[in-house]
Amino acid sequence: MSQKTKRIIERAIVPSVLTIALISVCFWGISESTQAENYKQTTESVYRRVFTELCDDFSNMEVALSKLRAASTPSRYILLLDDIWRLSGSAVSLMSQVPSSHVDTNELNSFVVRVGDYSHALTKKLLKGEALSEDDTKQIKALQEKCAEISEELNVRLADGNFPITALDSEGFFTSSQQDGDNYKDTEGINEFPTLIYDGPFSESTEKAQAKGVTGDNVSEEEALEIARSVLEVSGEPSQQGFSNGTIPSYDFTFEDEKGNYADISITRQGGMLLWAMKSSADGAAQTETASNEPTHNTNSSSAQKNSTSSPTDNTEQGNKDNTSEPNKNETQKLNDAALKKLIKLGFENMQPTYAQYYNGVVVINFAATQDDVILYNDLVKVWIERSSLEVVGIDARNYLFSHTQRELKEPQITLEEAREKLSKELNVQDSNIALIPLTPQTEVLCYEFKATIDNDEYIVYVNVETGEEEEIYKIINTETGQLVI
Amino acid sequence: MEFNKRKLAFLLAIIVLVCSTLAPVAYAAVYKVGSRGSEVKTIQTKLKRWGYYTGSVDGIFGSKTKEAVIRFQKKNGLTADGIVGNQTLKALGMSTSSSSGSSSSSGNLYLLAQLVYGEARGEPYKGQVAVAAIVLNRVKSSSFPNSIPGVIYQSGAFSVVDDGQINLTPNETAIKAARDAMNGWDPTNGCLYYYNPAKTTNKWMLSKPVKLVIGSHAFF
Repeated sequence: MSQKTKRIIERAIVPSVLTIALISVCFWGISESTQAENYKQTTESVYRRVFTELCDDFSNMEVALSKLRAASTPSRYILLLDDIWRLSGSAVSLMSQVPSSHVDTNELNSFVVRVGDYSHALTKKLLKGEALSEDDTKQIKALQEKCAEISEELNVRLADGNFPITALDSEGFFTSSQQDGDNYKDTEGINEFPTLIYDGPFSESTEKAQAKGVTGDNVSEEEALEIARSVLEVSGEPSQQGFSNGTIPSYDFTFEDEKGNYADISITRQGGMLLWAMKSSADGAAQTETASNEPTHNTNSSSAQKNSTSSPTDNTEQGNKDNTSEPNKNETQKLNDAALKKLIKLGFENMQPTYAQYYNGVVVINFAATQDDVILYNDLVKVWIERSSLEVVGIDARNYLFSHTQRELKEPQITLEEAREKLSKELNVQDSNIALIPLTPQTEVLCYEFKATIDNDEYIVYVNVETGEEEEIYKIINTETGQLVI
Repeated sequence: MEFNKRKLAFLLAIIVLVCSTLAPVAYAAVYKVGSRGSEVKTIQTKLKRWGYYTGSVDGIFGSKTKEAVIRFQKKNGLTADGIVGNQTLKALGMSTSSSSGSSSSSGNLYLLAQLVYGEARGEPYKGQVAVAAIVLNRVKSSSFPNSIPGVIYQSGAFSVVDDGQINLTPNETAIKAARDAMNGWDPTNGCLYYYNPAKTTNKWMLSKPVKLVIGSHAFF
């Protein structure tokens, strides 16, 4: 290479490459920061909108609650309560969008949810022809005052522009909780919420409900281990054991076999009852992994398509008949029998299969307890069965333990025929039963159950055996993986 | 001259490096010789079960795995290139991002599975179901939003939402864990929170009594 070329490279090319690089980096930087600014503006606008709407919801909720105190007729009450329910729903949705952590929002969230839940419970009460009680009047007053306080506080902050607009500066916005060393304490009045007594899905009494079916003396860990062994039909020592202090305190054990498959089980401390048990294979991909048949895997023919479903997860067993597809009657019978056999062995008497879900080569059958041929829909035991081997691979008795007791069943005041007369003329009744269904979390009603169809849609309608009132309507949605009851 | 050339090469290398680190990371769902990870393990497990693969299930895509993939592709009328792309993944019955969330009824399930995969893919199966159960317990609680997306995308609730791992394609195990939780299995016994004691610095979390421990997560 000549001296000249060398000089050209040194004097011209190198500096110009460097300059071009510098300029392009500058341009890139400017465009990036403009873009970041745009994003920031957009997010901030969203947060401003959310916060402003939230303030509006609180103001409107306060107004509706105060009108409620001034109203006197049921129809007016219902219209206002309906409005409060709607506003509460909207406020809860907005609360989940503010850039504040759940630790910060959860008490206020809980308050707003309960205001709505309570209003809805009152609506139901009024629709049944009952009047608002003195306690209700007191509670409404307390709610209105609290709402006014929150609304004022938030509107002041809105006026000052003092509200969280980025996720970073929002810690402790709603609670004003201050960190005092390792202790957290709440400082402002916004945290003290009135206690509401009512019966609804989010009421305090429901969230703190005790398990009615758990009875007897406390068992020791050794006794629990013995029970665990007999349920799982294993011997030997668990690879892990511990105590869980959840809603139902329990001893938890994990057994591992030589192939690395797990069996997990939870036994209640009180009474030594089975809470749940579940088997899974080493990599967790569970029971389907043990299926050994399937020498050729066939995806090309239309015959494979017949049995297959389009579920994204389950195409594995396209050629394998017993996967996600609905079973035939014969198989359903076999699955139910296998599950019932295990349930009886475990001491669950008089169980009846209700609905089922099929996925990954297993079926989950929901069994409900029965008492004098009445189906107790709250007392559910779920049984997981591997479809290829009919082996019970999981049991969950949580619902059963929460609600199972001997019920006092009322005498029907109307006959099945009379109840049937009351149904919509559009319904084509296929089957009927008598069942105890949950009306609210803490009340159950005895109903006639009618399984019926309109065109090709399936419904379940419940008619109160005493009043003849239509208590509940469910629509059954048949999905690829089983029935959904909505 | 040699010196200048090196200088130039160095400079260009720096520019390339800077630009490439700034480019968004793409998660390509293609597995070929050299790929590693749990998906490769799943591919090997499936191929082994169906008799295409005889090597060890080690999560490393080597020449033996490639041969097995080619045999599988030939048998199933796919392009026999030994590369596991969308078509082959589909034939293997593994979810691909394109086929995911196709039906609205499974939208919540899929989102829950994405959270499980992002938060707990290294955990024992029970621990994965437990993470899904936490979300469902929150939906039922008055203190939290009342929908699965509401709970998952709540500000600061899950770190995988902030760092984008929530958008990874969940594996079958995560989807099954989400399903088992939706069917009622709650290994946490009613808990609403969990954290990783080795990673968290959140004093509020650490100040609460732990109710149980599964894998590397503490629940309360």
